[in-house]
Amino acid sequence: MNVRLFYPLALAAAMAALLSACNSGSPQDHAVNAGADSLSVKPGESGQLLNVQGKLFSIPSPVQAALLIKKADLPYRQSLPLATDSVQRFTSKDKRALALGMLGADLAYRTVYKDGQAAIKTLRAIEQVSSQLNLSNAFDKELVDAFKRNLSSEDSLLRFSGKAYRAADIYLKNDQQEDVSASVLAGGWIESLFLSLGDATDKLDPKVATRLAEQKNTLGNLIALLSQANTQPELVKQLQGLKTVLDGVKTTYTFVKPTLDVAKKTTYINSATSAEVPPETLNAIVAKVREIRSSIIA
Amino acid sequence: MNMRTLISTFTLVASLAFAAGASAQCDTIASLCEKNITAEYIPDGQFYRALLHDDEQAEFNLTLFGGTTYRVAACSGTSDGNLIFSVFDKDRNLLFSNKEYNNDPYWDLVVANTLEVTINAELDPRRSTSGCAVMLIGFKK
Repeated sequence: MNVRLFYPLALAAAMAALLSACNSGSPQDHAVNAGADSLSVKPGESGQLLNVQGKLFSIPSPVQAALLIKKADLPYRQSLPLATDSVQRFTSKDKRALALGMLGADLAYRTVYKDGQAAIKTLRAIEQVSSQLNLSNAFDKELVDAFKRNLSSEDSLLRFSGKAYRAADIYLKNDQQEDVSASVLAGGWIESLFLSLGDATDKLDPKVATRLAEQKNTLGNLIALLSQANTQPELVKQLQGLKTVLDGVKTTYTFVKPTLDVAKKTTYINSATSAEVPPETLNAIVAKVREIRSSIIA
Repeated sequence: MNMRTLISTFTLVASLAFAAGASAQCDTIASLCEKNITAEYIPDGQFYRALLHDDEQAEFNLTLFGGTTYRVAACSGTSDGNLIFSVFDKDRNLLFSNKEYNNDPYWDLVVANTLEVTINAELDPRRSTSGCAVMLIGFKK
């Protein structure tokens, strides 16, 4: 690098660091700035926060999967979630991010099955991993204490964890750590699927089988996010293998006009869908999910 | 440092300053928007945001699971009603748009069967020509 190029870069970096220090609050600080004025966006600079060619992707919350598992009356398997005393095995940033997502799914699972003590241990493991990812303000002692105080209120616990994970996501995206954000989502998604399979002795519930079949689009979104981040090539490859299997699911969609209740600010989406999963495809999905989960925790 | 170097430094700093300011703006809007995801809804744990200018649209892709009631909150700026959001199915049939309801900052979607949707968000040109669009999603247990 020549001197002429070095000076502007050095000056820019210094000023950017100063600006960044002014703007990047902790994960839970964002509420403090609520009175700030909005900022105008200049032409030509818009869209730089957009993901993947102007598209943003949503990955279903692990809480939804945990609620479905409970609704399907599947037996609670205490040994399925990650062992909370083994999180030190995740030594890289990418693995820790995956683990943080997985622990979020485990927390939801333990919460809906009202295993309060195990949920608190999971939360402590989350605290440990999030601290290694510099996200300790989203999952701090205050959250653990609030969790303990509300152990009897499942709704409050699920809400707390949803808010904490959102605070972490806000922080990560503002800090340009989209790769970590994508890995957290991937970990949560894989763990949710893994938990929904139960253990090897459990028969797959039809509701769960349908939900597995409905993941094709979500998986495509996840692969797009991870591919853009480009930090988990091995995982992307494995997910592409799972997608190939999921492509064997036949889906149909029939549009039905939605109905509206304006007073309740509600739209009822009545379209009909179906997903048909041949047994061999289902078995292949189950095997792939277990394989991917095993390789993450190996 | 010559004039050319100064100009390039200024451009670089302005770009970085813009990025930092944009993040702070989105952060503030997210805080304000969270009030729409009331206590009956569980936050999905994610934060969706895009910087928009003029008639640009942000496209949010998501799967809505059958048997679930979702709350979609869409905000831009520090007051309600700056952002238009429209929900389409995969065949681009319009399922809902808040444009017909004063750009209401939130709306509930009761989903009978799982489907893929795209939510397009754009600024209402009568109210704003640029800004951060934030979308938050919650669901009922």
